[in-house]
Amino acid sequence: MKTAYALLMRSFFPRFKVKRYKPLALIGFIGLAVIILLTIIGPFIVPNDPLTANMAERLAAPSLSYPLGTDHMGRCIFSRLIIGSQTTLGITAIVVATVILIGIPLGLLSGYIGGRFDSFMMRMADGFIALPEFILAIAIAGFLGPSLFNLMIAVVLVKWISYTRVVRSIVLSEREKEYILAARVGGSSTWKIITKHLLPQVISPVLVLATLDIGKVILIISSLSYLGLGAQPPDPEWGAMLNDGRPYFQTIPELMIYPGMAIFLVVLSCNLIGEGLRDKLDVKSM
Amino acid sequence: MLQVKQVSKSYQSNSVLTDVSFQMKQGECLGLIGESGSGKSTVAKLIVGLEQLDEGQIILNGIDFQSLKGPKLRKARRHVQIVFQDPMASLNPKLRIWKSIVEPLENYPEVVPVFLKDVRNDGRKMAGILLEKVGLPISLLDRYPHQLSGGQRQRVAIARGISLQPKLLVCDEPTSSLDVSIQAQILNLLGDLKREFGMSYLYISHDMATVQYMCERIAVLKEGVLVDSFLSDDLFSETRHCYTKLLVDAALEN
Repeated sequence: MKTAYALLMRSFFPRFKVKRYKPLALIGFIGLAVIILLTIIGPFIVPNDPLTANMAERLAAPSLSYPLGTDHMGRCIFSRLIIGSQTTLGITAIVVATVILIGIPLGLLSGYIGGRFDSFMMRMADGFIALPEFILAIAIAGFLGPSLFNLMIAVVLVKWISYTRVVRSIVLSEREKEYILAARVGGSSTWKIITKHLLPQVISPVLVLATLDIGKVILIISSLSYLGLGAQPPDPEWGAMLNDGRPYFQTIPELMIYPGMAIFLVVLSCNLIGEGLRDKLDVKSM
Repeated sequence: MLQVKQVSKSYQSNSVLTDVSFQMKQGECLGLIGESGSGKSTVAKLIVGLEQLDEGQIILNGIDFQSLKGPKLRKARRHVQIVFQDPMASLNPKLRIWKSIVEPLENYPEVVPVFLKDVRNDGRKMAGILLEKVGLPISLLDRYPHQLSGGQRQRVAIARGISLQPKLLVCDEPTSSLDVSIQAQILNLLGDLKREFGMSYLYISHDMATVQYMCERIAVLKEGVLVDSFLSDDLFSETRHCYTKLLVDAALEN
């Protein structure tokens, strides 16, 4: 009986040993799963076309045909929220994935090879870091012109730095460890040391950093859309919806509350997951 | 077999080794002794090629390491392997131990050690044979380093060290992070392997007793200078350098 219990409780991935049960992380996980599910099945469940304006029904109160009411153009808010999550979450996922794919290789090379390449990368990173992330993103997006693609470029450009730095700092501390020295004595090439020995060491911290960052990326995307630099009308996007509701903030605050709540829930879920992962994977100093 | 000629090394303006020279014969065990900071580990790193020397020559089997570059250097290097002090740090915590053991064999596919010639293409089998050579059960193949004891980990590190059947194995304080009882086992293992393969050891330690037990000859390093070199039977001779006598007295007091 005891053996069976022990076998049952044995963790499937020995490296990802569960340190302590985290109900909050579970809540975040469920929350995000529900939101993603809604995003995927969204097109099949929305009651109205999110783009069709119906001026006769503008600013209507919630009803059976419009579950959350309509906005200033008479478009169904519920449908716009559900369809808008495709844009918001989709762009966030693309941005975070791109940033990881850029940040990890640059950090590995910068940390392990060092020398001039490292100095060059780090001075460039210093240059980017000198300005606040958000201001820089506004500047880049503004410079490139308002569109979703330019918005993604802007966010990637301000986000890759922190990933590169985290990866580099891990590599700097790992490369002097004896298992790396032993691999060098054993004839391993630089490529092999980087891919086989260093890459696995940086994956967990980067995973944690990424989940904690998803919330921030959503906020940046929504903020830029709010400023008119991201999604262009009439495309639904949560930040853009906030912007649309602004003139009616005092009379019909729901127009801003609904998209605001959606952003809030996603950011909260991601942060809960990120903190849970940080504790589970035993990643310190983040 | 190994000749170290007037080697000097400094980090920035800090001189670590000054004019160090010694020689080793095939199958011999040379003990290198000295207190911490005396440059022992630097000697080890220079010999395995992890550091570049400033002056002098290191010649292995008639080949001068410093004159080689690229593939030739790689080829020459495989005759020297190293076992580090802390086996926890010297094994990648995220790799199963059999992968750590066969890594050098993967890097030098052209090397076929006698005891592995039947299974040269099967990583797990090679690791299994090497584990047996160092007295560990094959059942440990798929463990991670943190699932082993300190002594077992050091045996794994030794298995990796002998996997290419090197002519020279540099042991950088291989027992100083282990319990006394385990130390004796590891020393016996190293002795057995040396007899079996005819390897030479450069045995680096600050512990007089183990060095005297393991080695035929002892060299004493003090602040980067080789002050004394003698047969280990002559350890208590009156002609020893005063620093050696100091070390012996200190060891006897414990």
